Amino acid sequence: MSPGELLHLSGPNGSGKTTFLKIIAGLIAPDKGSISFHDTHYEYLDSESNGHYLKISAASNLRFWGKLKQHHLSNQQLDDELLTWGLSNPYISQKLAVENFSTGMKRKLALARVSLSSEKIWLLDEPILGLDEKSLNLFSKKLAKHLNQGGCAVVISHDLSPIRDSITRTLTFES
Amino acid sequence: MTTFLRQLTSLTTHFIRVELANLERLLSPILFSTTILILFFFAFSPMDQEVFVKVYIAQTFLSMFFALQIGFARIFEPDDQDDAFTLLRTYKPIPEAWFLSKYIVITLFGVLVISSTMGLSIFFNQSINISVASWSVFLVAILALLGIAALGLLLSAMMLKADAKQILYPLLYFPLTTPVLLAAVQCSQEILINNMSLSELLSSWLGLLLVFDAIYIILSTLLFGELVKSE
Repeated sequence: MSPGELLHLSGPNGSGKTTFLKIIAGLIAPDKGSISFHDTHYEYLDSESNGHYLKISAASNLRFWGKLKQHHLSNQQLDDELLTWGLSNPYISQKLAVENFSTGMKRKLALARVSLSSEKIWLLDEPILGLDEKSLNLFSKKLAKHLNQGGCAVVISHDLSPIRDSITRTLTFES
Repeated sequence: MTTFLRQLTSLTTHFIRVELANLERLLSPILFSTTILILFFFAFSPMDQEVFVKVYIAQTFLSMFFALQIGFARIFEPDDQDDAFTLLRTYKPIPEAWFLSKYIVITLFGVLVISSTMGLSIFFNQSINISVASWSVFLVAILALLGIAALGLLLSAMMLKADAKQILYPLLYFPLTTPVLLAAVQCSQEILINNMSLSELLSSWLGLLLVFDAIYIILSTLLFGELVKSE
């Protein structure tokens, strides 16, 4: 894959798209073959979970993941990103535990984490699950911006509408 | 600051924040140990003073052991709830920093459980004219905690990946902690009954306790990385 590329993984349910993405993410060892990276840092988003610590706030979650990757997020950066995703209300972002968020809000917070990470490689498994129309457009713009800035992405999505314009290559899995 | 120290600080601060947001996880082991102590108190009172010290040690360590076990079995619960554990693996923190941060949090948690259990045990047994409040026994309990916590953390991490977690955990945890507990109980008996000092016990039970602590801490530090590393 090269900068600016979006690889779309398509195929029927159970054909191995998620397994393949997990192999790329290093979560499952391949039976054979190997994957090599120029840059081993990437941001991963699972289809069934968001990776949030549910008992703490959205801001605390984002700060933690940022610190761990040595991305020193300023309060302004954090506020701007949360504002973009419609999570800027101080009670929602600073006080409310993430466990009280709706499915869509949890997904938006996960996408905010991906967006803030500034990693070149995004590995996204069904990233738009539970998103409303406005958030779909926002995700589409964020992804296009990431690719324009030299990033690349591997995306699994059954709904092509928000990524169709950015897809540069498709890998189709057969059942 | 080196990457190791930076990650250790970030992870430890975060895990403490998560634990503080889950205070009921601390409360349930303490309530459990209180219940056990009350049961012992009513079952054995009035007690023959000759057996009092032995019963005191048994009830304290028994309550402590099971209360800690409740806490340890849930140490990865916040990481498991929304699969933050998997995400953490993709962030590839230094395994030793990850282990140590969890170990610090679990040890702090254990110290709170031990302090409250011993405090309650002394409180329930204050009517008997034998002093059981001893800093040496407290230190022995902390040393036992260091070994048990390392083992508990390793097994909890192992269980996250195992299919038979409900069976495997007690099968491994109970036999492996027995030497640590036996050494701690024997040390406490020698301190309270025979008035022996810690330095005198260093060549016997306390030495054994320290050896098992060292084995479990080293083993857990090394194996934890293998359990959490990305492929």
